[in-house]
Amino acid sequence: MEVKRNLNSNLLPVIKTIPSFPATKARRHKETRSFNSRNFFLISAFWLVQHTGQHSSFIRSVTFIIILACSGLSSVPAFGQENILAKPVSIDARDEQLEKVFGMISAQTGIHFSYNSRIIPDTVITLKVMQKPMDEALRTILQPFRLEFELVGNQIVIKKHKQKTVPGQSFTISGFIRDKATSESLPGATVMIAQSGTGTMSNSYGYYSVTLPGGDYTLHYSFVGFETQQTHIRLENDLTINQSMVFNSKQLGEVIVTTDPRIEAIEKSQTSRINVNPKNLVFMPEFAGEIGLNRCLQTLPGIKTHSDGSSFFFVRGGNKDQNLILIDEAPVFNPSHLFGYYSVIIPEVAKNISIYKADMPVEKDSRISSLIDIQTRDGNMNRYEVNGMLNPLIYRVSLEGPIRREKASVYASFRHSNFRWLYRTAAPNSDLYLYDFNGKLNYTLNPNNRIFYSIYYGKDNFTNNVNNETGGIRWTNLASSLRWNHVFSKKLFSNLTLFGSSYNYALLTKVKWLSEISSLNLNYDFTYFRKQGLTLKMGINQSLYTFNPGNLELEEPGYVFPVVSKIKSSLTALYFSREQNLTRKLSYSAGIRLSLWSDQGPSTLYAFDTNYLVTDTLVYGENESFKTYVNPDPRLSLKYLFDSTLSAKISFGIYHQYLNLLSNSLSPFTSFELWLPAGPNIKPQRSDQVAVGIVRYFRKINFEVTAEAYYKILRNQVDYEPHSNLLLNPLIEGELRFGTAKALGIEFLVRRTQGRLSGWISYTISKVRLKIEGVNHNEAFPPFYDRPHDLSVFVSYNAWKKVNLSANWIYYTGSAITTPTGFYDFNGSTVPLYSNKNNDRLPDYHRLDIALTWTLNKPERKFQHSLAFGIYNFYNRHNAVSVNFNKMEGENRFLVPANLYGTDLVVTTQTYLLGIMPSITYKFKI
Amino acid sequence: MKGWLFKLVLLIILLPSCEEKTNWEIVPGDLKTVVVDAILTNEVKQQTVKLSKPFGNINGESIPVSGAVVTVSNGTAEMNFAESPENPGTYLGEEPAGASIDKTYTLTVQTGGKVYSSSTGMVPVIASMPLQVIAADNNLRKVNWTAPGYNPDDLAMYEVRISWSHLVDSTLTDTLTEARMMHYTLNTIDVSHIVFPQEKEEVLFPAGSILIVRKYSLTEDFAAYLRALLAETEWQGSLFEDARGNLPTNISNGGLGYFSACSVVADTVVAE
Repeated sequence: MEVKRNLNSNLLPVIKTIPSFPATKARRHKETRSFNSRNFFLISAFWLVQHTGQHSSFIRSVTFIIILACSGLSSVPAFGQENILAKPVSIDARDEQLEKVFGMISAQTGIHFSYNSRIIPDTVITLKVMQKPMDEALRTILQPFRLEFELVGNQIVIKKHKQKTVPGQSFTISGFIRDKATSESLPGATVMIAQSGTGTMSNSYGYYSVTLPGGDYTLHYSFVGFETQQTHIRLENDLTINQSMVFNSKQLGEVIVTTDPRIEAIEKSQTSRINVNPKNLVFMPEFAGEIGLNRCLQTLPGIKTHSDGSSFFFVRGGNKDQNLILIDEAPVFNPSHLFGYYSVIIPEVAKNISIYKADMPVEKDSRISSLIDIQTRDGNMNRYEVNGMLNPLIYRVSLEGPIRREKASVYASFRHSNFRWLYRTAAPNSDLYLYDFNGKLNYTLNPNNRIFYSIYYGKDNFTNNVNNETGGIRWTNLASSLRWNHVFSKKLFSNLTLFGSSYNYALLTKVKWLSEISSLNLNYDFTYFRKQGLTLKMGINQSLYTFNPGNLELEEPGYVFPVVSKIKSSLTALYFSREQNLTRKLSYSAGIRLSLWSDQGPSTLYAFDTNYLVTDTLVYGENESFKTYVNPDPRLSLKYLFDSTLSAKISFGIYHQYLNLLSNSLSPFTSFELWLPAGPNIKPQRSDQVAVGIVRYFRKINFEVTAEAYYKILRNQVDYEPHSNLLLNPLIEGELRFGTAKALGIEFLVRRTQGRLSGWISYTISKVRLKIEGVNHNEAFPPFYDRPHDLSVFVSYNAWKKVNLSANWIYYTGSAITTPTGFYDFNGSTVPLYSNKNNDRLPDYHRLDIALTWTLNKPERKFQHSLAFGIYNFYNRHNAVSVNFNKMEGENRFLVPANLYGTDLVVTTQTYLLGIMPSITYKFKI
Repeated sequence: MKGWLFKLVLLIILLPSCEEKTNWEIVPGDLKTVVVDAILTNEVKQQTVKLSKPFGNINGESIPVSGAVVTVSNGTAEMNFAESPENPGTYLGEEPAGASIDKTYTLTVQTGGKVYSSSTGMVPVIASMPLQVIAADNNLRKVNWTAPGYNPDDLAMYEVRISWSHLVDSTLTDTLTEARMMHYTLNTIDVSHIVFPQEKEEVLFPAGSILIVRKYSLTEDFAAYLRALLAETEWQGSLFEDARGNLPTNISNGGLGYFSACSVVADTVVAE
C-alpha cells in the first residue's frame, strides 16, 4: 500500500464525520462507546455542536461530551459481532481519504465508524481489496497509521494504537520528499525537528531518515523554492512519511520560504556548495534562446567562464578539465554544443543542480576543482505534460507523464537546431546541425525499491560535402545510467548504479581523425542513518576506462600514419564518511575515499629522460598492468551554528584526478580534445584545499551574505612545451611539462531571495600562480584563467503580474595572455618575441544582459505559454578573446600577409565573439 | 580542403564574431641577442648568413649585426663569411659552394664578445611541382598550392618568387611588381596546419609573369621550427591557435633564429 501525505489539506486535523473540538479533549474522546442505538445521540451531538458554533469551544466540548456520555450509559450488548467483522468487503481506492474508505466499507456492510478526526491522518491512500474479511481489510488500512479498531455494538471505533514505549526508546521517521505536482523526488530538502532544533537533509534520491526518542514532534519540511510544510506526529513507533512539497511559483530566484529561523540556519549554512533549483533560472537572461548551465555558472562566485560563447569554466584556480559534470551520476566529458555556444545542460531538463567547489562528497568520483552534480527530471507521475520552446536557432520539445500512475513515469526531451536558413544559400553543400536527447524512465516497484534509467545523447555535426567527399567536424556525447534504489530498512538506504559514458571527436578529411574516451562504471552506495545527527555513508566504485588519444582511421590501404597508443585503465574506489552533530550547534563530516588506479595493456609507451628525449620503448601485452597508483583522499569539515542567522564552516580535503584533457590551445571553443590517463609519465593531479566560510542571514531585510576564503595547492599540473605537438604524436607525453599551482581567494555572495525584487551579487578576489618546470624560465606565472576581480550582479523584478524583467551584469579582470615584447625577421617573416609567459592581460570584460518574460496565459489556465525577449550584451561591448600582431588591413577585413615582399603595414587587432545579440523565444507547456 | 573548412568555420562559429583594429602598447623586452637567419643549400653559390637584432616596433626594421666573425665548418673544411658592403648584416661565403647531405655543418658567430654556434645536417629533396597557376578575377592569375600540408615522408618548404616587372607598361599601375610566397609540407596535422588557418592575403599577378619555384628539403628539427613559425605568424589569432611562445632555436648561447641546410630543386614557370 502506498501511503501519501495529502498535500492540499490544512496541517491541523479537521473532524468531518463529527464536528471538531479542541485537542485538549481528545483523550476523553477515546472513551467514546458505540452501540446500535447511538445514531440518535451522534446526530444530536452533531446538531448541537453545529448550532453552538457561534459559542466557545468549551461549550461545544462539554455539550459533546455530555451527549457521548449519555450514549455510553445507554449502551446495550451487541449481537453477533464476530460475524460482522467477517463480512467480506471490496475496496478500490485511489488517492482517497481514509474517511472516504470508511464510507465505502459502511456502504457495503451497514456498519458505521466512529472516531476523532484528530487521530485520522490527513493523508490519502491507494488500496485494492477484493472480498476480504472486514477485520483483515481494516487492519491493512489502519496499521500504517498506528491506528486500531474496536467493534462496539454495530459501530467500529477507530482509535490510536496503544503501545507501551520504553522511556528513552528511539524510533525512526523516514520516507521520500517529493514535488507534489509531479511526484518527483527532491534531493537536498531539509527536514527540521522543531523540538530539538536539529534536522537532516534528503539524499540524492529524496530519501531521508531521522531517529528520535518517542514523543510528540513537529516536523518542518522545506526545499529551495517550495513552500514549507509542517506536520505534527506522535512518535511511538517507526514512521514512514512521504512528504510532498508545493512549488512556490510566485517567487523568483533562490526562494526559500520558511517560517522557522532554524530551518534557515540549516539551509543557509552551506558553503562551498551551491544548490540551484533549475526552476528558478527561468527568468535569467538568455543567450540565443537558451539559458544553459554556463550562463548560470558565470554569475556565481569562484567560477570563471572562459569567454563569450564558451562552455569552458574554471573553479578556484583549477583548469578546465578539473570539473566533473555528472548527469544522473554518469560523467559528461564534453558539455558543449556548437563549439561551446550552447551547453548540453539546459535547466528545463534538470531537477536539481548541485555545484561543489570544495568539500566534495566522498561517494562521487571527483576531479580536483569542482563537481557539478545534475539530476534530471524523473517525469511527472501524475499527469502528462508537453512543453517546448522555439526560437530562430533552436527548438526543443519535452514529454513527460505517468506510465503507471504513482508507479512509473517517463521523461523525454529532444532538442534540435534549426539554423539551416542561416547557411542554406551560402553553403548549400554544408550539413550543420546539433541535437540532443534526454530520456528517463523510473519505476517504483514498491515502497522500498525503485529503478531509474537515464540517457543523454548529443551530437554536433559540421560537415560539408564536395564531390562526394565529406569533411568537417563531428562529435557525440553519451551518458547513461541504470540505478536501483533500495531501502533495506528505515535506516539503511542503498543505491546501485551501472553507468557508462563516451565521447568521441572526429575530424573528417580524406581520412578520419578520431579521439575517444569511454567509461563503464558500477557503484554501490549505502547511507546508514544510524541515529539522530549521525549518518554514515559507504560504498564501492569500479570503473573501466578506454582512451584513444587521437588516431587516423584509414579508409584506403597503403597509408602509414603514426599511431598513438590506446590505453585501458581501471579505477577502484572505496569510500566511507561520517556526518555527526556533536552538539546542537557543532557538527562535523569526516570521510575518506581510497582510490586505486591501474593502467593496462595492450599499449606502447615511451620513457623519457630529463630532456624529454626517448630512452626506451615499452610494449605491454593484453591486460598487462603497467602502472598503479593508490591514493587515500581524506575529507574533513566542521560546521558551527552560532544562532539561527549565523553559521561558519571550515573544510579540508585532498582530491586526486586521473584523467587529463590535453590541449595547448587557448581557444574558447571545444577543439581536438585528447584525453589521457595518469600513467608512467603523467602523475595523478592532486589538490589540497582548505576553505573557511561564514553565512549570515539578515531576516528583516531578507538578505543572505556568504563569505568564503580558500587556499588551494594543485600538484602535478599539466602544461606544455611551447608549440607542443599533441595531435597524432606517439610521443605526446614528451610534450608535457609538469608543475604546481597555488590558488587563493575570497568569495562574497549577497542574495535577496524573496519579494518582487530579488537577485544576487557575487564578487571574488583571487590569485592563481602556476610554476611549471621548463616553462617561463621555471618562474611562476598567472594562467589564462587568473582574474583577480570577478563581479556579477543578477536582478529579477516582477514588474507586473505577467511580466518579469531581469538583468545581469558581469565584470572581470582581463585574462592573462602572452604578448610580444619584440620582433625579429626570419626568412622574410616577422616573428614575435616573448619575454615571459602571460605577461599581459586582455582588456577587462564586462557585459550587460537584459530579459523580459511575458506570460501570455492566465495563471489558472492549463495551457501555459510565454514569450521571452532578451538582449545579450546590451551595450555591445567588444570583449576581446585574443589580440593579434600579424594582420594587415584588407578590404573590410584583416588578412595575414602572403607576399613577403609586400609593403602593407601590420596592425594590432583584437577578436571578439559576440556583440549585441537579441533573441526571442516562445515557450509553452500543456 | 583547407579552404572550405575555413569558410565553414567562418560561417558557423565566427558569424557573430568580429575583428577590429586596436591600439596595443608593446613594452619592449630584452632585445640584445642575435638572430641568425641562415639556410645553406646544395646549390653552388655564395651561401648567405644573415645576422640581426630584434626590434620593438611591430613594423620596425631588423637591426643588422655588423662586424661579426662568421664561419661555417663541414667537419673537414671551414669557410669564412664576409659581411656584404651593400647589405649590412648579410654575410656571404668567401667563394661559391654547395652543401651536401653527408656532412654536418657547424656555424660559429662571434659578435659583441659572445660566441653563438649551431650545427645542422641536410636531407635529400624529392622533386615535385607544388603549385598550379590558375585564373583569378580581372584577368589576373594566382597560385594554387597543390603540395599537401601534411606528408611526413616529404617534409618540404616551397618558395615561389613571382616577377612581372617585365610586363609593366601603361596598363599596369601597381608599383609592386614582384612577390615572394611560401608554402610548407609538414609532419603534423594540428590546428596550425590543416584546419582553421587565418584568412590570408591573395597575391594576384598578370599572365606572363615569371614564377621561380624552389622546393627545400627539411630535417625534422627544421620542420618543427617552421611549424612553430607558422603558428606564430600565419595562424596567430585563429580561434584554435595554440598558446604562444618563443620559437625553438638551434643557436646556442641565447641566440635566436635557425641555422639549416636544405637540398633544393627549382623550376621556372611562366603564367599563362
